[in-house]
Amino acid sequence: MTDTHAPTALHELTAHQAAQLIADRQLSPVELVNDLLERSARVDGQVQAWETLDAERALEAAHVAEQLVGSAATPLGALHGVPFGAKDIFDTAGLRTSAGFGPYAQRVPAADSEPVARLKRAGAVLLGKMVTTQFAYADPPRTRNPWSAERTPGGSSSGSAAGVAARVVALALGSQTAGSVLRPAAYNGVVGFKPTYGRVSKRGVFPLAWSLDHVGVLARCVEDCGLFLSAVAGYDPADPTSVSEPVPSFAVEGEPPAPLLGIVTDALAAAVPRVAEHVTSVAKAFESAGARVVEVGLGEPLDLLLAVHHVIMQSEAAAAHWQLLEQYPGSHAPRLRAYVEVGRLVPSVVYLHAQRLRRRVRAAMARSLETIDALLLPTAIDVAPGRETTGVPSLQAPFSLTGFPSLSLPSGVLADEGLPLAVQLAAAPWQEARLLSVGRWCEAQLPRMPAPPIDG
Amino acid sequence: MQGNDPARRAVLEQLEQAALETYGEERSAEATLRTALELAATAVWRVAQERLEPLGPEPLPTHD
Repeated sequence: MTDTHAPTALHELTAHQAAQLIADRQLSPVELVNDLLERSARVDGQVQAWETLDAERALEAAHVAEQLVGSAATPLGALHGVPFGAKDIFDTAGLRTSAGFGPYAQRVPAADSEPVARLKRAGAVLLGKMVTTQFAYADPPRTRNPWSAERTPGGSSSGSAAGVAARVVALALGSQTAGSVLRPAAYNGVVGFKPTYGRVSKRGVFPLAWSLDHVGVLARCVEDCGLFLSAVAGYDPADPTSVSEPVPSFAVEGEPPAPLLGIVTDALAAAVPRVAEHVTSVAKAFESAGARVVEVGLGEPLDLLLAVHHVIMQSEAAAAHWQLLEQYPGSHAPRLRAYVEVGRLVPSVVYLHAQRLRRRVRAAMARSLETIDALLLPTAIDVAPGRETTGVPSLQAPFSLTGFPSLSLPSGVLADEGLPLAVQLAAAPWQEARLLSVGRWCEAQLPRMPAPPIDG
Repeated sequence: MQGNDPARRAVLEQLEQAALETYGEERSAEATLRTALELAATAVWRVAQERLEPLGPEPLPTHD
């Protein structure tokens, strides 16, 4: 994001803008935390993004950060003094982590989850916990979409996405098993980013389906996603799904070149016409700006990808939760309960067959990406639906299945309904630096997203 | 239509029978469970349509 549109209010600052101002001693971390607390007091009654605001400790951490800015002997982290929120499935030391589950209402972890710990080591200040759907599944949350109180904010990273959109925080941890980072990002008009599976440790994060769960982030620009990834990426021997792949620089370096994009025709066909038309027009605008756009597929039929994903996710969710279901009868939300109950009935041979097919699917998708920089497709099949659902994951789940990195960019506002539209980019595994570069180029071609129409 | 496919119907009937035996008649008739059964049947049926030889991709749930 360019800084030609200097924000006038502190709560409008992106994470990298705030970090730069703090490092330059032009902004006090205490002042920033206080501003976000005031902003939260004004708007969170409408949005309900926060599960727990930790004002006292956030201010303490901000005071410490402020003192360190004045200490020339201490090198500052890339997110020094920058507040962040964490979805309430990420363990936080001394701060309640309930995962939306009644019996865990007073659960207070002794240690931070690894992503939270790494963000703190980069200097970031934990402002609080953000609403999740129960155990990051699909039962609708209490959070409202700041663009329309009658529409879902999406899920399961509901509070993270709605909170970033409502300007109560600039950066928030989310997680994605099907589409729980990118879909809420799309519905709330913010940026959502999911790195490659294994890039970010999940230690201390409640599982939903182990081989599909990813840590991700909600932000208001692509550059902040790079800052986030620089802080949290890297091998963690305590997480068996963590991978010891080299971690390159994700920092912004110069102007990104115009990319070669593969527009996914299957995904356009799966979207409602107004979304397909929008993404097609965005692709044309990218071409006019210098990108090359070619038509590609996902490598295998979309319905097969979704079936493989469904079988794996449901089987693993059942394995993760069936004992909890028996231990705390009546405590699970209706959809999660039914999902786990039916997951227990799926034959193990079908689960293993799906895992074998997953390797084929992954190889085919990798071939689709061999000659292009990134796939281009709608993030979601339509704009945010009503609050009785968290939306449809069919266009985000393919990349949760393959583990490939994906990014959602807000790309406009649907004129007649005033709701955000979004495009999705996806790249080959471990190519986050390329994906973020493509994302920055595309972001620069897209209209600047306005703030949602909420009071405050 | 996939909903009328005999193989898919057979998968659904197997899952319904398992639900009945595991959770009882009342629970098996509830709407949320019915919906989950329908979705699972479609996914299981679609996955089972794909043939794989024993020698081939191994079922490791990793991305290495």
